[in-house]
Amino acid sequence: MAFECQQTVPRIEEVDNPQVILINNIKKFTFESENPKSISKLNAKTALSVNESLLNNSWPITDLPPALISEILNCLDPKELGILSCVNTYFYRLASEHHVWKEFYCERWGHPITPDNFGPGNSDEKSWKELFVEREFHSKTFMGRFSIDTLYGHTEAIRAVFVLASKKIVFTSGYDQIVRMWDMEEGLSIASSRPLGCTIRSLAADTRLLVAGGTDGFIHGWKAEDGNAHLFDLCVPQNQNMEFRVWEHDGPITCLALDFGKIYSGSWDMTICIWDRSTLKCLKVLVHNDWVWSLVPNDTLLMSTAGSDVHLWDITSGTTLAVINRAHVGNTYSLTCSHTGKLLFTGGEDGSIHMFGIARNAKCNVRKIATWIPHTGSVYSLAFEFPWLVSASSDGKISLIDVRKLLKKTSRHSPIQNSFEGDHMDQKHVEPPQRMLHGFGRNLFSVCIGCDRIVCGGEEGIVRIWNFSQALEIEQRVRTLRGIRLENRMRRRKIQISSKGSQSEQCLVAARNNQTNGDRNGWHYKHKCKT
Amino acid sequence: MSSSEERKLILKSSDNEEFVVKESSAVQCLTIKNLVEDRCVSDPIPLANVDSKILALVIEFMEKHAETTLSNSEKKEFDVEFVKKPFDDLLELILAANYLDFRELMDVLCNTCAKQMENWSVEEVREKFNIQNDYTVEEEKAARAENPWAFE
Repeated sequence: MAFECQQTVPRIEEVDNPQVILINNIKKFTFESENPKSISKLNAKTALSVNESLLNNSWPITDLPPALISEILNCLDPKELGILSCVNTYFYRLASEHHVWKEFYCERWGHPITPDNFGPGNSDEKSWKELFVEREFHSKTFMGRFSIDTLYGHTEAIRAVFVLASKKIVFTSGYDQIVRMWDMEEGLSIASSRPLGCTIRSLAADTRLLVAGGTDGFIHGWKAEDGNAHLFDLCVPQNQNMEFRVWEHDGPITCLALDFGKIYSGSWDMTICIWDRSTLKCLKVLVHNDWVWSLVPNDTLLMSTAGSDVHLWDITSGTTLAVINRAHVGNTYSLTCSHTGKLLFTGGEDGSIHMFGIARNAKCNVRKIATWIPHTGSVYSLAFEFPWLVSASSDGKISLIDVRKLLKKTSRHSPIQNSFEGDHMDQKHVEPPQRMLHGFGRNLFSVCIGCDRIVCGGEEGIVRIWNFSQALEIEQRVRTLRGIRLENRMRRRKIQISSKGSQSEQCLVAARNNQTNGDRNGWHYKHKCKT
Repeated sequence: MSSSEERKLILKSSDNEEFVVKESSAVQCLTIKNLVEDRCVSDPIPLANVDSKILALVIEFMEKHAETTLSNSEKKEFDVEFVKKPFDDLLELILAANYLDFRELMDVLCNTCAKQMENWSVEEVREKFNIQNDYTVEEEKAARAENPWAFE
């Protein structure tokens, strides 16, 4: 039998007898006795690639059991997985069915909202890979053409804008103390509340609850009604069951957030209150050393800005995990984070935006990844939907930044890499934003992103919605038109050339004599012949 | 010093070489840990799927990581040096780490392999891994069209 194993495995270059290589390789592969498929594949491969292995001395990676190849694929980025799937049908299968695509998708955008694809397992089955590819392609939409919807209604400056993407509703409020609901697609007002008694500086909503907080330090909330298509009934005179008002803060509430069980409110009284949603009782108070400007919760981590510092809190224990001192020159007005909470973005009075990476290990490690200085005035508001970071500023401009390139540099594979090495390089690397949106003369206070749209409100009291949903279609149309025009041009040229050829003898002779004179003369002759 | 910390285990590779290791380092490998906990330990422990060269490397890694006196950055430096090996060795180490259920080593190795594969083009992957392209021309075009962003 061909199983006469040698004690040591000789290096392949030393052996000139292919037969022996086969034997030794089979011996190596007693590992995979559970995987008979790979052994037969191996036999085929060694038969085919014996010559190559003589040259290359490489051990085909495909002979690892699929589970182990999957482990390696787990560490790859979508781009590399994409390349791998073009290598070989075997890899294609591995890379496409790979559950990592689900991870990639959810990491960036959370679970898909639309009800008709709950992911694989549905009759209308789209694999996670397809979903990811679509969404990734779709993110280009923000570089394309947009249309603007302007919503009038507020009589004074707008301080807070909130987009509820799942229902396509925009909530806005400001100095006129009224909370208004708008339909994002139609660009029409749905409802408006009565004046709440003070300037409303912040709004937050999800499908069950809408909360507004203002200068007087109370939180006014509406509960969602089950039959209502627009969820909240703002107009109805005070209904005990559906509306409520709670007091706790001593100063104006500047920021609000909701998550599954809690309401978070931050105020100029230097505290953040964490409320239980069902009982509406304040569970915890997190004390800061300065006015709280902005907060964002993510899972068990709460990030907040107070003065010019950024704080990271653990929600369950209420303890500080990390502090970034003097993140900006002047106040750090705005804060947002990525879906997983691994990226943190801050914007400040100095007009700059910083990006930090958060590593949730035993202690919370924060390091600065990048800086942008797109604005000449304070950055009042930030919004993030992978891979676009949107900022609104007092200089009346909105900047759009694509963070994908930066993410490549700070790779996911940090266990081996010394994670602080990359820092110094990246900090000096300040890229300009991919796009700037203009059109405002005055301060912009709040911006949100969702459903292929960017919504912004500011001092002028007008809500503007930049609609990018048609951008990809328009791009496609432009491209086909261009293609058609090019075709027509080529066709016309061909006709010209062929018609020159079929001219009468005279013109032919003349043309021949004037061959070196180029097109212009040819045209003259053609014209002459026709008349 | 209690005697259990000093306890040594003998690991025998597939080619009958024996290696002595501290139990505290060896239990980083869950396979060995399970054997010890279930009291199925017969000295020496035979590891039929790992040869001596690879086992020696695994033990080197294991002992380095078991040392509590080393800081994380020092361990990382060791890892960086450790993975500077030919690709074949890394693949064999992966198989061994999988068999021994040694999560840390597995992660380090997979990350290295993935890192090496970064920025490779399709042709480079085929060449370096010695993979036969079994696509027809149309199939390959279709596959590339599916992943346009990978070629940007």
